[in-house]
Amino acid sequence: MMLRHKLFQSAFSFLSATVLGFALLAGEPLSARPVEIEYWHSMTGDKSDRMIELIKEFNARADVKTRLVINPQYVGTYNDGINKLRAATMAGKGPHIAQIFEVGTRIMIDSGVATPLEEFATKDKTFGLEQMLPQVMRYYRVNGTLHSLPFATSNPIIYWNVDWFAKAGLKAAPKTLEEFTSVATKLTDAKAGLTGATWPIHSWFFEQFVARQGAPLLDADNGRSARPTKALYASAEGVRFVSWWANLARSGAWANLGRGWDPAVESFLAGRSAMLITSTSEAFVIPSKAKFKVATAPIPLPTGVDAKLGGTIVGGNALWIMKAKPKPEQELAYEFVRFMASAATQRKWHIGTGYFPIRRDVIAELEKEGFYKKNVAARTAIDQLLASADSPVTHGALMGVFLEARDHVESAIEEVLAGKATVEEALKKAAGRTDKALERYNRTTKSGH
Amino acid sequence: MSTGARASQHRRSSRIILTLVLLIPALVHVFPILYMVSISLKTGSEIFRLPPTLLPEAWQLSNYIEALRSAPLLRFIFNSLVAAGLITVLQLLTSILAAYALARMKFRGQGIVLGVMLATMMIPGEVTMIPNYLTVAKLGLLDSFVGLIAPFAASGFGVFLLYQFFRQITVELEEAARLDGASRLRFLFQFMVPMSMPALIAFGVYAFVSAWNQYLWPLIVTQSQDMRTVQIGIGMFRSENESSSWGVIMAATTMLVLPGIMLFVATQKHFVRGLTMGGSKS
Amino acid sequence: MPWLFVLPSLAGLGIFVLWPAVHAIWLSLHESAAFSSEIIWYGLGHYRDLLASPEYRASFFVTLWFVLLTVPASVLLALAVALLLDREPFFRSLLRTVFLLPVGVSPAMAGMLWVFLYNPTAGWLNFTLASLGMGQPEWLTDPAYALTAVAVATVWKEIGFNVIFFLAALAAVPTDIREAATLDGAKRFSMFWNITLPLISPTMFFVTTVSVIHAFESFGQVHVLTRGGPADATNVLVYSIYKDAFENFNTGFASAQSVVLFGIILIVTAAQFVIARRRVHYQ
Repeated sequence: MMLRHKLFQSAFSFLSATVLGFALLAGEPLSARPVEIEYWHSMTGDKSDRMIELIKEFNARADVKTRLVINPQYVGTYNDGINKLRAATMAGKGPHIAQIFEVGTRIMIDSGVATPLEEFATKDKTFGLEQMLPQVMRYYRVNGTLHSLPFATSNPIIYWNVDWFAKAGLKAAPKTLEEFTSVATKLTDAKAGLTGATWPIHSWFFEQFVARQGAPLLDADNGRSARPTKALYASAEGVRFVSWWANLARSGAWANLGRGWDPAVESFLAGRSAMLITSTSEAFVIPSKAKFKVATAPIPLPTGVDAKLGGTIVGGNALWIMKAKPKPEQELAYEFVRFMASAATQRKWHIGTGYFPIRRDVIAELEKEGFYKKNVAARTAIDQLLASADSPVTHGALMGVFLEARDHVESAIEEVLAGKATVEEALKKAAGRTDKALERYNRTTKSGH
Repeated sequence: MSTGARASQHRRSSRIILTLVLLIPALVHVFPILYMVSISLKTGSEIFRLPPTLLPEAWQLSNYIEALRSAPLLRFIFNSLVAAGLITVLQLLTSILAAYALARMKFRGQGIVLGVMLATMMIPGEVTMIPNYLTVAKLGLLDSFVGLIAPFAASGFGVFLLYQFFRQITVELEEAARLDGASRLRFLFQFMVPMSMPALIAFGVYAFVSAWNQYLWPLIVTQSQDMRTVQIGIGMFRSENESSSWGVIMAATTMLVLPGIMLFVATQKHFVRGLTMGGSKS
Repeated sequence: MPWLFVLPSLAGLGIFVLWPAVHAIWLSLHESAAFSSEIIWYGLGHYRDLLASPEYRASFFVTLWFVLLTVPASVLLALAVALLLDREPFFRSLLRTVFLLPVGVSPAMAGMLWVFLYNPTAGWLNFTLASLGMGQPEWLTDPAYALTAVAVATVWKEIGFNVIFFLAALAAVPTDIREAATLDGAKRFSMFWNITLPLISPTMFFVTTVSVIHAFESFGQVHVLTRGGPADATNVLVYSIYKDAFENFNTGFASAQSVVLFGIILIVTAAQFVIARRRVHYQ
């Protein structure tokens, strides 16, 4: 009897809870609940904090918060992100917006998983395509179409320890490779464990220094006029850069901290290396964290090479809108992308990180306010990029196997640094490996849009 | 002096020497663990000071706080517990059932089934991981507990082990119980399982530790931070985007390594038994 | 009815072990683009590419060298430790636990424990070498030393596992032989060589086989310490499979490598059985 009573009680509670639940759910018309827009990104640390702030600002807007809410998800490194996207595509799932690094451009286009940004942007007068820096656009515009929004844009620059330089009687950063070598050698003190310079073993530096000298990375106009079939790593410019690097390393003036980005920054901040070459995205963080005065300078050029011949390539990442989602949701995603491209956002993003703005009007405004007089470090990368020549070399290489290719280049550099191969041998071998990968890619992948 | 006394005196002094001789390798062996803890308690500048010291100047717990802040370490431990726990339970259940059927029941194709299960022990994980990844991905089960657990729900080794063990239990006992009206299933779980406890516990511990230590599968199956297991979580602190100091990295490592070590020390006996039971039969 | 009992296990093993083994072979005969589900027939092309690939050959030799670096060391050192522990020193259980500790540590964790030891500027290892007047290699960034660095961390981890088996085997050695071992000097050694060693040879064989297979399957410690580098110096077979499948999106090529690895492991195991038949003495 007791048991039956208890059973009845629980059944009643269960039923009422269910009814109540349905009432609550059904009471709200579905269209009133904001659509969750999933946004996958790879930002960490301060950059992530700044980005989350921007997302919160967007979500809180009166005209936004009833209709959509951006849900950011950290998916790991850029490599992890692409992998995750690929897996999600296989399962028919995935985000609305994905943040993909710049070298993923070709594979993203060929994969057909994204709706080109231009489809949205050309219909929208408020987007401001004409304000976008041409130097940035020319990287991401492929066959005349802009597929994604360049969001975080960067360049490599030299960060140098002003106090350390002053102690050695030096007042300015080196401008040529030869000057760099002599400065770095002068500042090196092997016994004290101090080196003149450091930077990560990353293919990005190879790509940038080759473009700076005016040479392409791949054939077919850097993969821009047609599908590339050959890697041109063993060009005179490539050999020159890696030889210079290897000599610097051999003399002990360059510290080998491996392939990661952070150990090099740490070494500079800890006062163990006098010069650091890395992305301008640290242009605010490094000076603020350093216990010494920091200044920046453009990357050095070999003597005798015409500075106007080449230039630096835009680095960073871009936002892509996924095609798999229903059109109305894509439109909502586009609203967020437009927000990220707006002048106000670009300004906040630039000041909060070190990535430079993609818009002319933001730069002009900050200049008028005298912002760059106070923050000279941030201006270096912008000037360097604006001074770049306009050619396929600086438009940046396009290939679907960029990730794999970077591994080939980095292995080659490591071989040279370890004395296991000459520069020519190593670069030729790497080029051969990339050629094979390119051949495989061209064989298995249909052309993109 | 009698030979006995001389022998025991000899033995005592040689035992002391023996202990000392073993002490040095033992210290060397445990050194990496001590070193890790030592770094985790130091500040950044002290870590890089030469000569390196084992005892930190002042015990900094700030590294531990920072480690807990930079990554959901407790979540990693929780994920590993759930995944390893469920894998162990499932492996035990499926193996008990299959081993019993193979050891005690007679049916057509019995030999083939046993052979097939044993054969699966020869297939390394590296071969199956790519197809399994594709299967799990297509089912949309990536980054989920199901994806972490399902491929390991059954174990050929478990069947093999328990099959050997069950075969040794006398048949008469079962026949008596069956005559009393007990169903197969009841007999299995009411009699055979309790009788096989040592073997089950040993296998259970071994399965749990193996699942806890898995690296490659969780690496490719989990993608979001919240699903990472302990082993993958530690890899995160080595990823190129993490700008943590060595002190923080070692603090995280200490916190993540300790559960595994403590678990192992506590269940040492059973783990050893689980290993040697299967091994010595080969 | 019996089939119901066997079904869960059979289903689990069938779906996730047996069928994938077959599917892996099928995958190795095709290729596909990174984002498409289209599968293109490629026949034995991947296998041809593997044989012709200098990188794969290098990876194979790296793995072989890795096996040679880790297996003898971890087996012999474990045997030595087990022999010493077997002679009943003071604090035997404590010492035994210390040597067994790394078993509770995964290969990845073992890598993490050694990572800072290898730091060229502040790591304890290089400091010790410096005070001994020896050279201080850049363990993890110099291709000449990286494999050794990973191997040492691996041996450290594997010793405990092998000690377990050796201790069990030694415990099974009859007591009269054990007592005879307390005799002094030369007699003890010949006793060990002629009687104890043959008696534990089945375990020796088992431990070596398992160690070799573990070495061929190494991944965690490589991923944590060196990511297969520098300059592919630690690009062992499993790491190569992982990179090709999950970083280069080359599923077919990676599957072919995994099939080849499977073959290698089978051959190694079979070869060891053949060798052992002549040397191993069963009671």
